[in-house]
Amino acid sequence: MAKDRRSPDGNGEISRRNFVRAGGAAAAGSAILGGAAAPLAGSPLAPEESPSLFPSVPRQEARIQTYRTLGRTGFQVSDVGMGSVPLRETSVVRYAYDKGVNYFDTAEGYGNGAAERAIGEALQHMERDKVFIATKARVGERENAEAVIEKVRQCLQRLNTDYIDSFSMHAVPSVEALGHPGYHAAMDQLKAEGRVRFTGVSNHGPGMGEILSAAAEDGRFDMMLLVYNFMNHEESDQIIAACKANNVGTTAMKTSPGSLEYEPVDPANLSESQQRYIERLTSRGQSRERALERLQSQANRQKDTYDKTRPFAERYGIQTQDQLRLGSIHWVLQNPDMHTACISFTEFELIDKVVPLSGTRLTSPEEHMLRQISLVLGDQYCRHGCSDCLDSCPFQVPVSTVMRYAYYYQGQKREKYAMSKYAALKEKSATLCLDCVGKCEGACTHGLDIQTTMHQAHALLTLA
Amino acid sequence: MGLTNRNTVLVPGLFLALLPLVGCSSGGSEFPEVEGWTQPGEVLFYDADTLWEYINGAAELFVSYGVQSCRTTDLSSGDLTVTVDLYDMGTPLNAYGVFEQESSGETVEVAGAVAALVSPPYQALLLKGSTYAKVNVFEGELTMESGQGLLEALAAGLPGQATPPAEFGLLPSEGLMEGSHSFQAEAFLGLTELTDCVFANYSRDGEESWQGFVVLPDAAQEVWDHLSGEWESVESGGSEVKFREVPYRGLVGVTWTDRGLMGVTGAADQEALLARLDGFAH
Repeated sequence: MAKDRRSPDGNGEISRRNFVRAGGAAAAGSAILGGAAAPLAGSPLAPEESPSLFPSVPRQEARIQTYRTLGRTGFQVSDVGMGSVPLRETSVVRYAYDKGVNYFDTAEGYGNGAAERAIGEALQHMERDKVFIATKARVGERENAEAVIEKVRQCLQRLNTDYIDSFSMHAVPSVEALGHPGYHAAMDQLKAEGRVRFTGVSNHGPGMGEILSAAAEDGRFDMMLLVYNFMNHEESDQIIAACKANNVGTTAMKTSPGSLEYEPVDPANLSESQQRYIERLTSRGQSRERALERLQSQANRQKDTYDKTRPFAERYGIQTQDQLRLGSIHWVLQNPDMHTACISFTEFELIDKVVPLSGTRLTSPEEHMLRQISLVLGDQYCRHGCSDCLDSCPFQVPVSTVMRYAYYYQGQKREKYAMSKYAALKEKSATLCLDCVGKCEGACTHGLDIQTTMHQAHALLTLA
Repeated sequence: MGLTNRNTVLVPGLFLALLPLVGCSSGGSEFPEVEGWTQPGEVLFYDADTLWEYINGAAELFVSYGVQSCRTTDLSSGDLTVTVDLYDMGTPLNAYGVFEQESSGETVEVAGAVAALVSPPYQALLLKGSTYAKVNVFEGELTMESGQGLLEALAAGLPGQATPPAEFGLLPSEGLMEGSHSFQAEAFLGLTELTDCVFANYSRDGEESWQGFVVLPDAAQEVWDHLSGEWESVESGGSEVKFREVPYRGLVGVTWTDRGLMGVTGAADQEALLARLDGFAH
């Protein structure tokens, strides 16, 4: 039995006891300014330990919280679905199912049929009508209905089931290909026989927006599998809108892109791994120039990914690749019109990390922290973004903004940044509070002693 | 597991001329000559970053095994046209791992290859050195005979050894079920902490089969360190054994021996685990 690695209270959230022990009150208005201890290293709220931005600590007790209607199929799918490449362990499929995941995406080409076989083995431990099995295959231009039916027959065999919930055309190359007569004839027959319930299309190449939007409007397809992530959503948003308008199910793949680093190429000073790459290509008969060209092209792609990742990472305070992976999945889950996100679960631990995201809101670390603090400290905490007290102040001092800077200083240890932000407030800073008669008394709807808090914040942010 | 016969998988050939050329590049004469077959089109080249443009999500498996490149072209002979993908997996062990994952079809003897499978009429697979070759039929029908002939001609032009990866020698031979060797680079048993494992099925004294594994020497210390504080620990015969439960699969345990970091799976309880591990590792 692995040790339970949940938070001390076992739920990954912060209790009042832990919050205080952690010195988390440092982030909470008057409590910190009153001189509480700095956060303890390793405590749930220590900034250097990641301020619980995402529940990256696995939570084995978590279960799926949100189910959405998969378009006209009417099936209630878990917002977190399971992709199946590279899938090796049948028991991982069972584990996901036991956590409430009920959508399983696979394809004949994943592991050359191995993924379907693994799901087929796991299906023997599931209630068949409680899960949605979506598989797919490439359909060649010249393949007829008989060939497509043969593909489905083999999928059924590998999946060890009497019917497939949906059989999609995989990686459809063009709008014209959506009308494939062999595929549609086969689906008509297989639906009539009860072997296939619904149809769909997947694409993640050039033209995805055009192809899948056309598929959504076509009327013959019940669901789509598309690329959807924070780096690539403009095109996907159009598809999702078309799906919504036509009551077509939406499922997401490639939900966790991005990179927090890249390695530039200097031909005169290649890294060890770059050198190995060059040697490998030249040993296969390529010229060094051509190999370098490929290496450079690879580096350019990585740089592009890095550049696209950076704003997202900065917004949500993401610092590690693991956080990026979970954060980007969490971003996908926010859209109620994206019915399920297919996550490639290859290990139990990833399931324990992703399932707790089900039905939860993506917040910045600051928002997350403040939300948690608000639960713990109630009337001691100044709400981020609240301006209820503003009208009571004759000088319009932005109280919640001042408190946010105090949090930057003490909660996040970004002292210089906090002080510079505070200094930029100039005539709107809490300097004005020092000689004020305190007209704000009683103005906080949450019971905060505003003037005292402002005095303390000013002292902190000016080192007075 | 292992290089045993599998159900035939229907995978049609992919006629390369129909594929969009996104991110890939043509590679001139980078494809080995295959006696008796002509190469009507160009060779396309993909690396780990661009492989998805060719095989979509299936690329994930190859990336997890460290794929270096994929060269692909069409070959023709008589009425048969096939697409041949040559995956350079970097090491023979990675190639073996991905081959075993994808294995499907009837085993055929191919001179100069580690292993070969044919799934008439659609597909043939070959393993040699660090290359995994996948042949999908585009036009015509492959027979066992023509598949075997093609794989032999292909093997003749590929570099590398025709013997299984040397790392399999780390596994004890007693009770090892023939042909069940394999390699998993990541998440063996679905456990993040178990990487770089060679493993095989074992059966001793008529008991139900279980898996024995050895962590590759280069990764062993890191894996062991990762287990500290994560897995439970018990002393057995003067050695420390770390163990945990794998959902639905009983207990897995590992211990250090002179031969490296070794482990067993599928034990019903701690007593059975320690006995099995002792028999396997010592």
